[in-house]
Amino acid sequence: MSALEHLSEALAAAVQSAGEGVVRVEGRRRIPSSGIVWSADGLVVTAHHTIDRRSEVQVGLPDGKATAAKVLGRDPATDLAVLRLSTAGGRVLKRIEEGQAKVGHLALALGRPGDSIQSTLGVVSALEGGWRSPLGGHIEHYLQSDVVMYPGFSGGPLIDAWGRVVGMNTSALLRGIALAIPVATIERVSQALVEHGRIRRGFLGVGVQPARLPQPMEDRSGQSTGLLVASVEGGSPAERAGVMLGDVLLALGGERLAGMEDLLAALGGDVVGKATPLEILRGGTSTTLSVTVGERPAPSEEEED
Amino acid sequence: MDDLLEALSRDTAEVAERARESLVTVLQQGVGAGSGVLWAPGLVVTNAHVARRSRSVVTLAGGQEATARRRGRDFQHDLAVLEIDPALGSPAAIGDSGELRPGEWVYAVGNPWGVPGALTAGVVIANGGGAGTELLELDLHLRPGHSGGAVLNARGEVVGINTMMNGPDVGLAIPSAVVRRYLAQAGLGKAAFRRAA
Repeated sequence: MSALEHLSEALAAAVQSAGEGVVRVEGRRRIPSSGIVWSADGLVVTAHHTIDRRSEVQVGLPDGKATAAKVLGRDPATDLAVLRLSTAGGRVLKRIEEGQAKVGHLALALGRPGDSIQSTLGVVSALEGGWRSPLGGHIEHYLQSDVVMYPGFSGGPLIDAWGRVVGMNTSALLRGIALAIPVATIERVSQALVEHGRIRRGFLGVGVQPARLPQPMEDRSGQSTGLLVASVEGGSPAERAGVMLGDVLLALGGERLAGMEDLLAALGGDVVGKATPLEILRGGTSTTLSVTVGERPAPSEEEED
Repeated sequence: MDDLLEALSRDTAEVAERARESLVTVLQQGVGAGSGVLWAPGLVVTNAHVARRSRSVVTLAGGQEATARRRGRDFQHDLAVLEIDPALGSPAAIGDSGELRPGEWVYAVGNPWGVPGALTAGVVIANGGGAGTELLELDLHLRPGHSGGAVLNARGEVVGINTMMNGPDVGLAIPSAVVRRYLAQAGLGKAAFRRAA
């Protein structure tokens, strides 16, 4: 057998084997999506954007059987949703460990929009540090591949040559890019979703933009920019705390606010409902207010893919 | 590791070379160029949308030209059969499309944008059953001129005939089993089933 035949056989075998851990998720009209069997007791992770408002979905198992599944929780900011199968099935795939994925590794995207497993091939294109999605979700690695995302592949796994799950593919988080949610994020978020049904995120109710600080202020605080308040929502935590138009936010809970990223990072779920010091610049002097951080409401359902 | 990559490259080049031996260009007046596969001695398989006229000029590997007469056409499967002098060219080794599994390595050859014998590689996404179709769904790009050309497996056997794209990234091909069925039904069968060693 030539090396090429070996490769071809190995790829097909990897798809067939890993396919036992991939299910069909019927969570929307038109094309079903895919899901990854995440635990032996019936947890499945899938892509949030492929499930509409329903609380129960039909799932097609690798052996061809169908079962109902309850939507335990979903997090639009990381595009993850967790399902609980009423009858557990499928195989739990091995997962990649920190540091094992490398740029250039072969990567297979698996999906099961129909009865049988489907696959596309590519390589790991980029693997970077943590980043924040457009909706503010923290994602442990920026993981990009060049696999073709065939319709219904969202929610399915990206696997490596060892048959290990590298991440969950989604075409919705960044449009036009084959992005995968890394295993570390799936583990963290799915655990929170099983426990709480959602990922809590803090909410102030202000519209802000970065603004340069006056020199004396920069010298004193050690930061060159703050966040200029351009709008305050009526009845919001910020308004109740006394935040006014034209204030410049400098720090929240002791965390410096030099850019939008800092504000999103400071508004993690742990500060929700807590009185938190908010340092601001008003009329040339800095003051500290106390704000009781609210919980960010769930975004409205607008996606379809 | 370097050895493996070199072996893969070498094997790919061999498949390309073999694929080109049975690949033909189908030229028709006022239609432009498509591709075809010398399926058996004297028998060229191409797409129905390529063989629009009853007569065409076929260019074989090595540049030899032959006049071809259309013997059959099936728009439902986008297949057509042309007849040429059976002494010409070397026929392809035909494989069994039924054995193809998702993830298997495949190649497409044709004359995309008029480039003769251009090779492109990808994997099988699905072998039928995808969207109620019996077509092969492939993770590779087919371009104008690929039509009627061959899809090959890692052994260099013809397992399909290029037909069209489905969306921007998915190539569709007619499985070799469907071609065989059509040839048998059209009474062009027997001679075409000679499987090369």
